[in-house]
Amino acid sequence: MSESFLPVRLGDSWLVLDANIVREVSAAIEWIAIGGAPPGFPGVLAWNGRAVAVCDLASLLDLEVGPLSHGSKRARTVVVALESDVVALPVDGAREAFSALEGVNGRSPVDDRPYVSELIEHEGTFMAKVDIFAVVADAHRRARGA
Amino acid sequence: MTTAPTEVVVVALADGLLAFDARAVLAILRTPERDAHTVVLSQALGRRDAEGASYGVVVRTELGARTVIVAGRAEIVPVARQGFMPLPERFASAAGGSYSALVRLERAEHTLALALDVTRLAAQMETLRR
Repeated sequence: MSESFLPVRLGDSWLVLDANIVREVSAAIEWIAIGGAPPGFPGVLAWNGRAVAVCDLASLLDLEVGPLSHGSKRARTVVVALESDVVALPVDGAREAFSALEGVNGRSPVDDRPYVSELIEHEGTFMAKVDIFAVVADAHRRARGA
Repeated sequence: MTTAPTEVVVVALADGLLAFDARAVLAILRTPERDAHTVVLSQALGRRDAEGASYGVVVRTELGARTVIVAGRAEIVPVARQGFMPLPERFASAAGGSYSALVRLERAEHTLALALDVTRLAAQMETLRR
């Protein structure tokens, strides 16, 4: 069975997201910082007539990229739908989605990185497959003090 | 005021715009008197004032009229069509729940502002003072 992925870049790190949950990839979208916002969700932006939480994957995944702060922007915004939630992921770059078969060469499991289940090789680059559901759910749980 | 506002009074802090529902704004005063119910907006939100002289925005809240001290300037701005967007629930505890919505303004620049729930803000400040 094949899965579809959207490659996104944060700094020098390439990640892949499940393409099925991606609703839009656009240029940078203006966002507003909210003081006292939960960690990893520094603010909000307007998307399709609704306020959508901005999720800073770089800080939640502890990547070597400066955190998203007031006034800063990243070149692309990826909007993903997670069950009843929609979040916006500002990233430095995005490439065309691709498909990869499960259990073939070029895919290797990862045990020691939070939220990353495997590395997937695509066009000579290893990309970390990120479980966005878990990232967002855990951050939400922490924010509620659970 | 259960319906979304069509106009807001926009005020500035150093790092962004805030909006009051214009229906709740009773007056804007150049030299407001300060009393036990006065709310200094930047202090209440832990943010910095914009540059400029301070003034007071008198707002009707469920606790009664309250004067909110801000700096810079205030202006009445129409809200864009479908431009009043309640915040996702995950921001419910930010600044004591004082932020209520993202507002798209009907103007060319700086089109987004955060709407304030002034009743919550005033109640929070009064609780802190006790």
